[in-house]
Amino acid sequence: MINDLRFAVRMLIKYPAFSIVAFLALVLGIGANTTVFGIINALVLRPLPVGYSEEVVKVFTTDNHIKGNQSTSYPNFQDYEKQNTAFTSMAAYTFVGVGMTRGSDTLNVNGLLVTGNYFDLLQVKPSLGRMFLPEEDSTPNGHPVVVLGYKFWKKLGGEPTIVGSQVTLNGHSFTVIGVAPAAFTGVDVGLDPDIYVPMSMHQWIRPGGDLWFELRRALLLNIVARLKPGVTMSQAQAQMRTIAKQLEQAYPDVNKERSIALVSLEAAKSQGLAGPNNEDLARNVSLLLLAASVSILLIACANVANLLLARSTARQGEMAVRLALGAGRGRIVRQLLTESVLLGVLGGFGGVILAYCLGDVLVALLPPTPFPISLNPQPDWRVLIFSFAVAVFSGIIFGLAPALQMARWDLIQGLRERVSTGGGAGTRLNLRSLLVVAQIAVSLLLLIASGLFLKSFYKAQAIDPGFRTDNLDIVTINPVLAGYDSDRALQVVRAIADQIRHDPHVAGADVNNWVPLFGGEGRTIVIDGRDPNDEHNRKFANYSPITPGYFQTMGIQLLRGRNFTEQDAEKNAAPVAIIDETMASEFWPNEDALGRRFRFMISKEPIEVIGIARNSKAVTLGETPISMVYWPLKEMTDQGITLFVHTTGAPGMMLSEIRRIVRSVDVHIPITYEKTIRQHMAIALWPSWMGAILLGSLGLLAFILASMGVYGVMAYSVSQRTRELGIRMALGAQTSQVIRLVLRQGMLLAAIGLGFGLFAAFGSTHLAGSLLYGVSPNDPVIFVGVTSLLAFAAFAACYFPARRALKIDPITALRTE
Amino acid sequence: MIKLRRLERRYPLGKEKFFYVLRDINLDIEEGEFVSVMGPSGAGKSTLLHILGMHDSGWAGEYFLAETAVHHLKPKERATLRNEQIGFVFQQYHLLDDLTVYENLDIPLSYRRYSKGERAALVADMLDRFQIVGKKDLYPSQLSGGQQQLVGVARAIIAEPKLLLADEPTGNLHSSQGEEIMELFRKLNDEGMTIVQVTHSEKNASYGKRIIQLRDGWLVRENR
Ligand SMILES: Nc1ncnc2c1ncn2[C@@H]1O[C@H](COP(=O)(O)OP(=O)(O)O)[C@@H](O)[C@H]1O
Ligand SMILES: [Mg+2]
Repeated sequence: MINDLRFAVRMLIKYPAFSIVAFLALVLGIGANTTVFGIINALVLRPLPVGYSEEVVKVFTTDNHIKGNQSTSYPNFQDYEKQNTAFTSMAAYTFVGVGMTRGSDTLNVNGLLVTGNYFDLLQVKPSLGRMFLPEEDSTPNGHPVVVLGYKFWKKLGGEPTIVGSQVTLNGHSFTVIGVAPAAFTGVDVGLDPDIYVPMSMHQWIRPGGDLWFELRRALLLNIVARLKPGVTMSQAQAQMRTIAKQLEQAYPDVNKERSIALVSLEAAKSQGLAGPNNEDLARNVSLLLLAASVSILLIACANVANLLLARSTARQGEMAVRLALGAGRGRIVRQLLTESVLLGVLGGFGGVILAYCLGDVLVALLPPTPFPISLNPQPDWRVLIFSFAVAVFSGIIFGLAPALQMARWDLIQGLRERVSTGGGAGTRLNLRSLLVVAQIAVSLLLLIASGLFLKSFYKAQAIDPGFRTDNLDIVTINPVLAGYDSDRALQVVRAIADQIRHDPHVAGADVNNWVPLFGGEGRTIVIDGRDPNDEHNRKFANYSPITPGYFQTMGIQLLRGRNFTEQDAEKNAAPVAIIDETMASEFWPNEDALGRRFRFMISKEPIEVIGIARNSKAVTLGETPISMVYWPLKEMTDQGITLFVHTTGAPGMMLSEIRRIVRSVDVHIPITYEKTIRQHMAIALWPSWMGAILLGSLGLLAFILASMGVYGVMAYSVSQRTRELGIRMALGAQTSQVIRLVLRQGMLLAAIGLGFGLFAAFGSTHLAGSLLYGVSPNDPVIFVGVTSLLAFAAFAACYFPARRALKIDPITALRTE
Repeated sequence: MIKLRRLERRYPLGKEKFFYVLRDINLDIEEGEFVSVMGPSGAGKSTLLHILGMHDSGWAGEYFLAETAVHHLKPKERATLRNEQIGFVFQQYHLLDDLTVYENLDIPLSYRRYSKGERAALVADMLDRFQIVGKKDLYPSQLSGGQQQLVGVARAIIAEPKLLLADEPTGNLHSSQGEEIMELFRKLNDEGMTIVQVTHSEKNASYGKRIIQLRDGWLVRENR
């Protein structure tokens, strides 16, 4: 074995050109796989650093009228916690933006309000200090204590003396009692809380949000629970559903048609990343990327296998001698496999190093996101094991065929004569040709996929969101966090908007609680005068409390009726609303919606429709329109409010001016989001952008590797056919006829490969359908375009070796024999 | 048929130095002649034949083939002239291993202006004439050396050339097989074909009417 290895090293050195090209192909192939696996590892594979995480589940509320799994209200959570016997404990948490005042500025930090048993349930031990005691979550506003996230602690300076010190959150003083361990970033991948605060402190942390904790209908809390030993997830779910049924009967108006779904913690951890109704995104993207990178690896392996087959011709003599000296075929296969596995492992080393570099590039490529995403795609031991396995595996894959072929050399030679097609084109159905066919097929599949994603990205950019896409700034502030009550918050927001309006570079400044292409609050709506128990009369709509100038500032067209006036926003004014086209046609399909009435499920007050606005995108660019109710802004929530500023000059410049105005009004008001509309749109585009970038680069890689493969095979084939081509030229073949002969051989392979690739693409692209905006998975332009592109590349890769055939001097060619 | 004047072929040998393979060759071959070129190994016989067969173009001097000044022709015109006038037989047969006997015979026709029907007829004719109809679907490796060279000759003359060039056609054959080829040449020559062959054997040379001796690139003697 050591001898085999020593000889293998010598062989790699003896054929340096071969070794370098094969090494590079493997570095690219294994590097791409390691990078992709690193991403998947970070997204779904790497287990949460939670004790016995397989026992932990997430508990979701389901509602027959809302798609997907929802959060749970605080009162319901308390009932579930009390009544269940399936769990040893249940904990709840909710994300919350918190203003942390340091010196003269107030930072917006990501907080997690958690029940006192959160860390105990997850069995997470502090890296410094201690975690919460049960009594610290018992009395409202009784225990102002905070645990810091590890990264955030490092950001604050990383001093151990921080434990016991005070920090100012939303103007209140809190004591730091501990720091979470480095590996723990909550139970939702990508969302790394800066601070953890007991839920009993919610009035200070979410001032003005009391109602949220009291309403049994409010979908507020994420729930984790640990199964009792011996209780299965389905048993627990059955019991929880029974409790849900009882809660539905006890509170029919708010718990109607609501129940419970359990998802294992590990399965749920990456579902929050892409937002509601997109739970499978992380998994789908992972599968797509994995398929793409495995294809790349196969193409790279095919390249190396082809190089090995070419080299094996050169080593025919060596093998003949070995056989003559009595080496068994098994020995020869072992020797050759040692060589290819060595090559694979070397390529694996290079690939891992490449992946380390790519990991940083990927993080740099991450587009701005509405909430900071913290992902660590850097390889860990899991990735290293994966890469090592891939390296050995590919060494065997690309080495086996050439090794077997070589060990059976004479036999194959004999076979060759019989396998000859005799078609005149010199095509042989040999292994090398098959590999080329497979390479072309796989890279066509990949290129079509990346083409679809690129087109989807382009289409998504061209989608009209229904509002201004230039000269607009979006700034979210949260006066409630700075201690303002609803009325004073409203006043201060109006004052800020007024000051902004006075700037000569501003054409309009208005506010909305809903941020287009991000989200906001939704409400269940009942048509007035119809039976609220009939589900046709009860629908879910998004909810936009706005100031009257909003439509003009955003460039949203008011189609019919009238706009809001300042009077409509007064407390005792008659309740009126403007709805969008979708709501008009969904609620009043064949009637005129103008002048009709509806009410919010949570109130009895009838509301009159006074206007109909054009549709605009609410959450994503690719969404099917959801109903939107515009409502005069009358009160403030603790969720913050967003200023929309239509600028006449460069919107980027105006952002800092807006920040200055907010700070001049009150330094304590946290600014939680500030973007130009261009930046904001980039965030909305990021799934398709990532898809386009990742698949596009993988597609490009496949394209390069496959072209290399075709070129290599054709160049080798021409060199093998020197004598034949020389004879043909001596017998009168014109140069054009010789070129055509070589081209025909190559293009036949390419055509077969393209055929298989198209077949595979037609059969599989629909799997990516849900990830594509405005592009059919069988988009003819992409299919035809990419196929032609690849055909052209194959042509070029055949043409240059064919040109080389012309340099063949018949006399020399004929003399070699 | 062939007229060579001051024909010269040299290969560069370092800078400013040349290795002369053929020097100052003056030669006339009439239509219908059967000429044998003889001389020791390395004398330049193959080189001369490849020049006559227009496989080589790196020579200097004058070469007239049937009144056409080959030295003035462009490569394309040379190729056309060659395809019309010349057939070539190799010492190593140079049949294509992946093609059957039938397909090997068809190659020269595929590079000339023949219709499909004409090609089939000519190949059938040739198989008949050389009595190898039964072997038409065999591959070269399934034939004996003599049979392979028979196919080689058939392939050389299938496009009806006026001039047949053969470089040691019997060099790889037993004497009895060689005789068969030589008889074939005599018959072709009787039918009017001009033949130039390279040979080492006095006996084979005797089939021809004239012998040319080459030595170190010089044409030293002619025996008529
Ligand atoms: N491409 C070449 N470069 C240099 N010398 C060559 C080349 N081809 C042939 N020669 C030389 O020309 C001489 C004549 O070769 P050739 O015509 O094949 O001889 P013959 O057929 O008489 O045995 C030989 O010495 C050979 O080495
Ligand atoms: Mg010779």
